[in-house]
Amino acid sequence: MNTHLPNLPPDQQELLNELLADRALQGLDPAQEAQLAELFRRAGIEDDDSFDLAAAAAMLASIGPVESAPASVYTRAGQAAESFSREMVNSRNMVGAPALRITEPDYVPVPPRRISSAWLGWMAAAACLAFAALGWIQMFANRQNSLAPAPSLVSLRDKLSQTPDSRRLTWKDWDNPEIKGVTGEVVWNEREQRGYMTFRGLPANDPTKEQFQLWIVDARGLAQRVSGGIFNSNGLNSGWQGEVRTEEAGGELIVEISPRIHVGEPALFAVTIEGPGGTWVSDMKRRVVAASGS
Amino acid sequence: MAATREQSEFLDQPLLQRIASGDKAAVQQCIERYTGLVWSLTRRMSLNTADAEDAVQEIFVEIWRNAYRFDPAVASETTFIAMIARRRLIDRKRRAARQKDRAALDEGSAGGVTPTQSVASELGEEAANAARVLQELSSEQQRVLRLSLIQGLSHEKIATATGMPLGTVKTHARRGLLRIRQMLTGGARTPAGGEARS
Repeated sequence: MNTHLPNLPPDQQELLNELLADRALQGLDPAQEAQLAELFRRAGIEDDDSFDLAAAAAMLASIGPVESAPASVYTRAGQAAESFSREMVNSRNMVGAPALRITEPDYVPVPPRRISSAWLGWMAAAACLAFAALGWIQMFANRQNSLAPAPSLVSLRDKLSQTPDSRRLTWKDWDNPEIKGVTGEVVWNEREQRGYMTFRGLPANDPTKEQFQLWIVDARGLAQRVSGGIFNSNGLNSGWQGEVRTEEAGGELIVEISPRIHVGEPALFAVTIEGPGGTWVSDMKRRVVAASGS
Repeated sequence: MAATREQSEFLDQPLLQRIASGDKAAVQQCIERYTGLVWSLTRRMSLNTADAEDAVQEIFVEIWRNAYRFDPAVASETTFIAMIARRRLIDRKRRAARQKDRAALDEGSAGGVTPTQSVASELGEEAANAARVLQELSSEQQRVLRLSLIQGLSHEKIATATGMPLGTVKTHARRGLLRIRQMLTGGARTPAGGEARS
């Protein structure tokens, strides 16, 4: 296994490996960074992530079970996502990275050629097998789904509301609401982490300008809230990618509740009006209805 | 509303490739899928909760900015994300150390957990293989690597904490990591041209 970088003598290859190992384990000081950059230049390579990936794999092997993050962490990550989305819009002028595309989902950038792309051939084969298996499973699942008609939301809601540990809460106008007089209720089952909202009198929205968003708030107050789903009052194209089911039946709009993370003991369900696509960081100013558990 | 074949194929791509091509929904899905993992890594290497929350924000931005570098033929998305997280956390630790050398050496808390394949396997094949290699290392190598990988301690601090000579600590850490790297490469060509010397 004596493959060498032809541009580097053995002692410099050894130094390169030591620096790469040290970078992966504890980081480098500026002098070492400069030394590493010089060795990369001499070797004619851009970088080498292999030691960092090894350290990451070892850390993954050692961290124990993945913890659930508190809601505040999701909120902070969401704030970062909003900033990054603005950065994406302006990214066409970024140096060193391919232009980010916002609309057309048909372009995949080719990653820059990296020295580390050549190793792990066996992993590529394993990944192909895994993808093939996943694809087969997904195809099978889709086939099953396409064969069985989905039950109506009315029946799902009614069934859930009859479950002994489900809660049923009534919508009320929420603090000087932008839209008044909307009625209905929420059915929520904490154990199953799912629920359904029913609205009567919720006017049609223009999804290109605004959408409704459900917030689920725990007992600590409004700061501890998670998004329960984004929806339109005409029932069409609800959710991040249409994945939140809605249904109109008998003058009622029924919307499934689809929280993005585990929700524990919600104290308040509240609906706001947000921009298209919803938000991670609502100022909660455009209020509609709320249903309190207390 | 039926998605075209091209749209379906696009949505089947790894999240990082979709983010690199400007898909904002993939950014949100990335948060949903990986916040628990990033949080867990961060809690292991951060001093307190507030510091950890700051770090998670920084890490996600770094992940999205580097999404174009992800190559599924080289590593899984999980390992790539863990790598970005580690680099950011190491940077933060070095910055904090420069401001104030406050790291208390507490070897009891530095142990982390013993790598188990049942837990690691949930995080991907690479983690499971790494767990296997870690268990094959000598107890001293395992100890040094845990202090380095989980606690993020420098070689010097590990030497102080364990009483091992600095040179021994460096050798254990580098050789242990080389073993894992060699396992990941399947004994194939080592990218930087070297070989595991253990």
